[in-house]
Amino acid sequence: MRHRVPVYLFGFIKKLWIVIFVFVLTGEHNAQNIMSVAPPEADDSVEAELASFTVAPGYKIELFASETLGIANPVAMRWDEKGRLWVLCTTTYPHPEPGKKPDDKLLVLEDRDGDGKADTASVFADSLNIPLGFELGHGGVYLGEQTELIFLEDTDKDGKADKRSVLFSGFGTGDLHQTLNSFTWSPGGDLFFSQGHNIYSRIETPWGIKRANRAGIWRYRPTTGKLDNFFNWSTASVNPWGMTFNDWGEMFHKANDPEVFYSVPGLVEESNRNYLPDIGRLVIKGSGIIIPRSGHIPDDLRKDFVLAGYYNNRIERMKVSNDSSGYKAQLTEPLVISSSRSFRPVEVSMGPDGAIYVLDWYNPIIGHYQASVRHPERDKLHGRIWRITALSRPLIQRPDLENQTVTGLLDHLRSDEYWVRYQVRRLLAAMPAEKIIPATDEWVRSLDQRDARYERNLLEAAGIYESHNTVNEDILHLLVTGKQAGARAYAAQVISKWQDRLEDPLSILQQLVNDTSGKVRLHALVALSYVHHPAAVSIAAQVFDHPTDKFIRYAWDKTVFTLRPYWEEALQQGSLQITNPGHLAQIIHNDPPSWFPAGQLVTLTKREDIPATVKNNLLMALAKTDNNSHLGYVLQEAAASHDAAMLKRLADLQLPAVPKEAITTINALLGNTRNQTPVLGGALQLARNWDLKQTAAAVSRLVQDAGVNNNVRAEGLLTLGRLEGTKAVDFLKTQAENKQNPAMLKLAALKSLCGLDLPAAVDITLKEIQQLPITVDRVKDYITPVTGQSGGIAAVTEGLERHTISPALAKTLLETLAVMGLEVPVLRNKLGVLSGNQNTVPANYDRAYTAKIVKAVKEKGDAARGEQVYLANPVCASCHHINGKGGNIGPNLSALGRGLSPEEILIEVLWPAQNIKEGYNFISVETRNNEIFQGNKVWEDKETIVLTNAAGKTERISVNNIKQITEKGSLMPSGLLDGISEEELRDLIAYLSSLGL
Amino acid sequence: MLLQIHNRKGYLKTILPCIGICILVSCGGSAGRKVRFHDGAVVVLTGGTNISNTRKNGYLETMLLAANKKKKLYFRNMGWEGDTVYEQYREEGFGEWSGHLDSVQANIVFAQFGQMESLDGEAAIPRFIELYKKLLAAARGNNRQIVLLSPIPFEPASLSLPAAQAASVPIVNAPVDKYADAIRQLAEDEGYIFVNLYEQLTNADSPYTSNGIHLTESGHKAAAQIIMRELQLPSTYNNNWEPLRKEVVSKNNLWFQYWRAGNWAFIYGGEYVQQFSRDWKDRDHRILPEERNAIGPYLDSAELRVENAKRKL
Repeated sequence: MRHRVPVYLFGFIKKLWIVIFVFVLTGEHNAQNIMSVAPPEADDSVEAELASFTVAPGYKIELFASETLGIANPVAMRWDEKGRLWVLCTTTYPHPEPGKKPDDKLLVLEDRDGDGKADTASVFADSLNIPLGFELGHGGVYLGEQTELIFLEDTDKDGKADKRSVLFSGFGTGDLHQTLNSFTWSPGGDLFFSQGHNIYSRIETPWGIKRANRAGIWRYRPTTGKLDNFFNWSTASVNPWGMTFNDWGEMFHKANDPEVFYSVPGLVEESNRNYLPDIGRLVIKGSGIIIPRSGHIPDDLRKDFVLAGYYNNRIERMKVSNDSSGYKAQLTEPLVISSSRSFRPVEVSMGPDGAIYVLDWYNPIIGHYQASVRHPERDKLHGRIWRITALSRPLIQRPDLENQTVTGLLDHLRSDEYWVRYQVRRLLAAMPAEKIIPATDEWVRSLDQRDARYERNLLEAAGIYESHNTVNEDILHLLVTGKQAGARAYAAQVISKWQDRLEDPLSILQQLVNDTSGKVRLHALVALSYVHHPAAVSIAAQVFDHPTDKFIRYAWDKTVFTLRPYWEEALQQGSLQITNPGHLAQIIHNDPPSWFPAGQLVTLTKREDIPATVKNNLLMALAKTDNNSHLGYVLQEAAASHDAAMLKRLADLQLPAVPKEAITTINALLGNTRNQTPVLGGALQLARNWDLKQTAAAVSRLVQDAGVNNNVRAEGLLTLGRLEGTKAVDFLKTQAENKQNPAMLKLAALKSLCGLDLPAAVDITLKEIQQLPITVDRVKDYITPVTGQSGGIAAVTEGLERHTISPALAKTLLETLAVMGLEVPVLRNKLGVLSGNQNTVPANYDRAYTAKIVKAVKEKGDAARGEQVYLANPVCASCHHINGKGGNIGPNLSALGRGLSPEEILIEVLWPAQNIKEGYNFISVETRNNEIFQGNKVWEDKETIVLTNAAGKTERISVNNIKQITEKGSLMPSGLLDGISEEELRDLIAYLSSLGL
Repeated sequence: MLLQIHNRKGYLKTILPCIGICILVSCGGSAGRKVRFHDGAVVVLTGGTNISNTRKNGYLETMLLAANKKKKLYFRNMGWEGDTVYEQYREEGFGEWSGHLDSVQANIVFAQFGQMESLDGEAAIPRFIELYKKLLAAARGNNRQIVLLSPIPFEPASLSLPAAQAASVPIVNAPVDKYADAIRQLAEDEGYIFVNLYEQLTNADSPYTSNGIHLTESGHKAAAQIIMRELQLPSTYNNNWEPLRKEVVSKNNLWFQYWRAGNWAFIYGGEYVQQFSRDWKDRDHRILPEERNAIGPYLDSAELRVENAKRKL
């Protein structure tokens, strides 16, 4: 770890100027075009929206239904077997009004004459209160409504719900645009749905209280009543929205952000908190995901993802391909682009005719965060459903599913139309088992093994048994011995569900976890997490006898964690024998049991066949056991392998005492100047963190040896200050001021000095930055040591009383502080005075000032000039991303103009702490060594906090080493634009408002 | 923050001016003792889903109102799904469990815990009791009357599972009875009133739960009648009370809308700073908290309707 530069890496700024904009501003940058959240489209008519679409060659888009049928604020749509489209509308969204009875509706649309347009709409349920999702099933409707999962039924068959049962309650409502949504059936009859980032749920179930903090995905099994959740703590999207299953029953989900996920590796119950890697991204936010499997759809699209790009008004398309045991998805040309900012596709769906249906929330305002709850321009009148069809390809004739015999329905499971199979599964799941099961047995017997779809048909049959909670070993056997990997992978899924009633689930899973296909091994691993038996983990570990990848390793970590209650005790008592030491190492390395004999740990670490990461984890555990008495051995191992990362991990340990042999090892490492730089750096960090005064002489020799790499000498200077304390002050001063020294050494000496004599360090800093050239880069390098020290900012402010600096330097300092992302109002004010800057931007939000600038933006804003202002400002592009370029620290700005009004953008830019986006949680951490780290908190567990700082660097801070954490609001500092003229500000806002238009 | 609302701006302050001067004699005593309902008393119901759900059917509240016709009583349902003695999860800025009892100036607290906790088995009872005691010590405040409702028994028969599978469902073997016993003992030791729902509901008509855990509407009615009997109050539900019950439920809906307001993260929680909760013309003007407080007058009217319906009994 680079320990001495807390927040801002030297030299990161050099990247800032090479930002290249591929973005082509096609719109006119005049006053009319730049409003985004604010004015709705001039013409809200269907015709105007239709004219706004550019459709990919070979496709066309038409209206299926609109507000004329009562659709307004539609959030979800689902089909029934009759080909009717059910649409959930919530005009109560985003918040119920006091004294007003919520009256959200579930509508049923019907295209009676089959002309591709809905003719009638009827109300199935009304008086609903901001429901965000639903699905049909078991003769009724599953509906998520705020705290409750509801089941609605129409018992008298008059087309209106007349019975309402609460299945579960206690879902969180902290943010009403993140409550239960995206209800989707799996092939095996499980109902999946999700919740978002500000939702904390507590659900009492017969299996215990199910807790889901922040975003996650729920799975409800109607056959058993069991409810489980996955990915909570927003570990696979902060707001999942949209799920789908491929033909082999593998789940994918869409974040309501750019990412897409392959969900399978994380479908482990009661698991730990690990971030699932995504498999691909859109440019900016989008929701909803389908794989358009229909004969109507051209071959080249049939295997792609089609997604709803509500943020940049598009229907997106991603190419999906295999990636080891998982997948990857790559963005390609969209199906539809709209120039209307009110086109807000939130869901896509395959229709009975094979067309792609698009649910259009139709609204100029999409922000729940960014726009006022009562913003008058939140559209409550419109809502549309569009139909995308392929030109010159016939539509699909919907089969009659409602008047079918069971056998007839089962036969439709052979269909290549995904819509048909989805409906049939749902219908069969709702019928009585005593009727369905024998018929399914018969159907399976009738299947032709020579049919290319044979194994997919088996999967469909298994799904029917699953949805009736009926174990069928024959079908399982057929899947297990399937020729296609998908069939064998699905067999593992089935076992995870039936394992409690199978004779020997472990031996089948053992076979599958050793399959030739990585995909099958992955599924088997996940399935093993469901078998609560001590041996499950030892069988799971056999996955390491084959190549692994990120998906398998992710599933492995979760599986080991979940199975721990079943293997740990057995392992301790000896009833579980893990004969393969490599497997044993994999099982325990993430968190070795405290009782695990140190001797065995030593033995394991001596094996050649375990990966370095595993070995290092075991060594770390060993270092902590038996009062650190194995530290000598651990250090020797780390030194022998010249593993600098391991040395740095050891340096993070808090030790009561350091054994002599450890000191000898470190001195030996330091004494060998031929050691590589990172190794010497690691040794120096050990000496410093463990305060090993006995190494001071060796450190001093390194520092003064001109032949040694400067990085090492710099690290040595930091260490020397710690080991020698005030004795080192004079030496450090000399080094910091020595003109012969390269900057790196001067800066290190300065940093070291900061911890011993801060005023002296400030004096040297202020003298140094007056040297030419006065640039932001150089000033930042020199000021970083003091600003990264506790109390450093105040010391610089005081130092300015003792030193005279030029207005130019003061201005550069101001810019530097902004680039560094520092929120330092007192120092900023002082520098403002010294720079002679007539800064007119008020320090805090000011309504009149905001109104003045917004007026100017509308009247005279010049986006093209604003772009130049943006490019000339080193700060913006270092953190923000526009159309594929720029940093990833702050929110992506590619379609900013579609999400925020100029007024809101102005407020964000001038007073960023006012608004913070989901997932951007800026903190400042002060360590025990009085260093300060600032950045967005991206991870936190009991041992580590991980930040991404303003330079985009990830900083891991050991919790042991933390003195204090302060919530700072936004990483984007105030005062970024101090010194900018009002005209420049006006044009900058005009430019930002034009993005994505 | 919520406490400030209750205390400074909230409607409760205006509708409950007399509470402060009501001084109750300290309780001491045991199971079977009567609750003293005084005019103007604030009754708070706490616990998990079963308590939270009493707001939706209103049986217990209706029967207690009918038994105290001459007194004005204010009921505040503070049940929350998943609440246990171990965790009462509340979002950032919401305030803690006991703080809310203070904020409505509760006089009588009905508490029901122990059902979901019993899934931890018998060995966990000492810790359960320790934490329950602690929770109640915080609730007891200044002479608050505490009524401990025993947990209701699980009803595995209402699970729709084959017997072989049902046997492994945690609620099947949970020792709720032992927890109920321990709570009875706790009530005796600490001088709280105890109502044994466990034993009497075990004999109730099945099914009394919808999923093995949560009372059906008729289950709630049965439980309310048991509670009334145990508290030595009229314990037969009278169908003439239906208009009153309807008003009670309507009032409870408003209370829920106020107390557990959706979009909490934006009202006083982690997203407090966002534009969403504010006026589009004036950032300093926070619309959502205002709208929340605006429910107050509707709640007042609903209380009045409850009172009128009660008078007509």
